[in-house]
Amino acid sequence: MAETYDADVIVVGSGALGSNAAYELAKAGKSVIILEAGLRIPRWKIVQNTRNSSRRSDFNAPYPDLPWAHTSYDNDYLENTGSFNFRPGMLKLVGGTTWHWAAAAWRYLPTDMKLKSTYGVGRDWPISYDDLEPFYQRAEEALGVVGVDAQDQSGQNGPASPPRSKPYPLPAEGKTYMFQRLEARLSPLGFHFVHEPNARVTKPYDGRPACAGNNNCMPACPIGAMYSGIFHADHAEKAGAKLLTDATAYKLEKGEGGKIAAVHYRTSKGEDVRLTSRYVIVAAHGLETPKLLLISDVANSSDQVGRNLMDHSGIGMQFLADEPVWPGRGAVQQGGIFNRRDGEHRRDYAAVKHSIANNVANPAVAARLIKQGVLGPELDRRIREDASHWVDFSTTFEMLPHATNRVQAHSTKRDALGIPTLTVHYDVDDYVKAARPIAEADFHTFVKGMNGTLVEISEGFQNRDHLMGTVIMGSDPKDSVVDGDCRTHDHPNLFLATTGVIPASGVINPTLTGVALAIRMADIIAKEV
Amino acid sequence: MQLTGVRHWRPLASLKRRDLLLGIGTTAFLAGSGIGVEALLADPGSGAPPAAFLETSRFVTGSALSDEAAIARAWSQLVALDAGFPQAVGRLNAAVHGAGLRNMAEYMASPLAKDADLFKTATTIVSAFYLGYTGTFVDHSVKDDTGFVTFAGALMWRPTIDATVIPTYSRGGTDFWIDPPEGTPTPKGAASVSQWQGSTPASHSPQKA
Ligand SMILES: Cc1cc2nc3c(=O)[nH]c(=O)nc-3n(C[C@H](O)[C@H](O)[C@H](O)COP(=O)(O)OP(=O)(O)OC[C@H]3O[C@@H](n4cnc5c(N)ncnc54)[C@H](O)[C@@H]3O)c2cc1C
Ligand code: SF4
Repeated sequence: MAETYDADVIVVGSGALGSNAAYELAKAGKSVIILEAGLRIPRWKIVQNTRNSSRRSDFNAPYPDLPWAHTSYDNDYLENTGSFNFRPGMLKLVGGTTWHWAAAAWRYLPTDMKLKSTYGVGRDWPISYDDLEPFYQRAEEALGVVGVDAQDQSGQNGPASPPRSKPYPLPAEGKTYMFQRLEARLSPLGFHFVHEPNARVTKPYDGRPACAGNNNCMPACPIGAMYSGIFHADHAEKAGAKLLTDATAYKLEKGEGGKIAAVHYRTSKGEDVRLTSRYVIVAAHGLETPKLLLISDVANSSDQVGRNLMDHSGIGMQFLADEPVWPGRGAVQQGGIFNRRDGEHRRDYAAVKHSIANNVANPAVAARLIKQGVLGPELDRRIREDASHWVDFSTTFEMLPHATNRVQAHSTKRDALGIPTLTVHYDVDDYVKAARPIAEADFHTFVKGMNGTLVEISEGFQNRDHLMGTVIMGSDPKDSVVDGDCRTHDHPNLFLATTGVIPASGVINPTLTGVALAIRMADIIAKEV
Repeated sequence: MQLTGVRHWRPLASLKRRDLLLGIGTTAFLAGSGIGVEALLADPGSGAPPAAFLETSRFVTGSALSDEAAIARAWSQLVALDAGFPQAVGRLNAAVHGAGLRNMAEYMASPLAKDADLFKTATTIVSAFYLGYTGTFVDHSVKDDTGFVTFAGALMWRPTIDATVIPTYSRGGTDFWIDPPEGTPTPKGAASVSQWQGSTPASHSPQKA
């Protein structure tokens, strides 16, 4: 008698990556169950929570932090042992962490994916840019990405790059006045300004309204112009997938032939359920995916699960320009200066991306002035003056994978479900540290170019919320967890949909790449199931 | 209803004043009903803020401050953070009265501004109503001692309300951000390029929502 299963495919996690994979599979007629640890929260409630929070600059604050589904800012949940307080934003609810991302939707460059062979450092991807290009296109269509087709996104002021088979699904938004002014004055100094492709629609698209510039992309777009995983969680359900909330996967059960036989989940009421499927996709975020594999003792014959953790650790700088540039009109980010995204320097130090933040500056400006003792009518005058002249750079660095930078299941601590919490060990390496003075020299040139007054260059390094490397992709099963298709080397029916597979971080935000890989894997699974 | 602090710039008509300046509506309502805000706040035994707090808060912020719920939140949190706060407010209030100061410009120019304790109290109150929260924010942590006061009513939005949004609200429609706010001086030197070079033709024309 033929074996029966609860589903063709179980997807663990309803974030952007899991939901896109689930949708593609459901569309292809496969039966799909999505397990989601968190709850479903309506957008209006999140917006209300945002407005009612005393922690406006904590992008996790409007979201639930449940005893069985913690956000990453809970020190009891995520414990650090390295020199750096590694604490990226991570959410647990239907739709996942892209509820509060900023929707930058970049493609990697062909050289990013061949870092070792091009520049002799880090690792190569086992697949090439050409393998991924059609899926980048589909991912852009899924997310509603706006962009400028003919721009050299490598920042070298050359022909359009990386290559694209089709135009962006949607035209770019209008250039902010601030961006115009900085570009007008800094590009003559040799800085190449690049528009940031982003999943923030400029026309009504897939049920979403055009971006209206609420300037609140992080922590929540009030109108849903900005993409988040919730859209594909909904699409997947409409296409027939079954979404179970309050269902935390805690064990992948090994079966015959090296296959995963079942997924076990636990509810907050303590119910344990075992579900079987032909294929399993774990899409539980770059920190939780390796944890689930580790506590299940699967996919780790290489001993690389949880290792090679990368973020785009960054630094920041603020200054006051000599003219009003008016940040805060439009979305929270729109692009930046990309001269150091690619080039021979990557042999010696990290690629650098200088992003220009476009947040309404009043909170930062007012807090600073009050701290300085500016009160009375002068306070209002200075808030207007400084908020209009405020320029905020947020810079990121390329990382290299190191086996010692790792996430692990906590050896003793447990959450409310009795499941291990997380520990992270992370140190910023010399490759990044060597890039810092170069980036700081740029900062000073920006300030000078705008005849400005430096406010601050941040100390140390900052989190940038981009999880990579933790279930690293490679062609050799001895030093990697998944192959170029995101299939685990150890288990033919276990795939991982997470930015954690990315083996060479480049300097751009990783989610579009994760979605492209998730769609690609769904195609492969659909053919096999 | 007069708003101290708002000067020559004018709020865009598309923005509802009620949304932007929490409390105006309340005050107008109270004025119409003949009930003073102070009367509502001075409920002895309820833990409600004393009149001195309201008066001092209005003085240091130069604002009408009429959202009684926000004022009550600020008061109870500031007292919770510092048991000596009521006395500190009393001292500041008495000092301002004693010196016969009429507004913060006079206070800042007076010897009182050099009194560190009084200045700290003034700063704490200004911070609560300008930033919309009390306490000290701790980044990357779920726990700190901050308390919510007001969001849209935070006074820090007021000086730029014609030009930028209060986040989560909007103004002007898609691509309004191409142009600077009205009255922005024309910069000298290199001209701005308002369109993306190498855009598809469609992206050359702003898409209106
Ligand atoms: C403030 C901020 C800004 C960012 N900006 C950008 C940006 O501009 N561009 C960009 O590319 N990236 C950005 N990122 C990163 C981006 O958010 C992530 O790359 C993306 O969310 C990863 O998607 P995911 O589907 O892998 O994980 P998630 O979105 O985290 O989804 C994982 C889901 O799995 C669920 N889950 C976890 N464990 C289990 C379990 N055991 N059982 C069941 N369910 C489970 C979670 O509840 C969650 O819903 C940003 C991140 C932050 C925090
Ligand atoms: S600017 Fe506003 S409308 Fe546009 S994506 Fe951000 S929050 Fe949404």
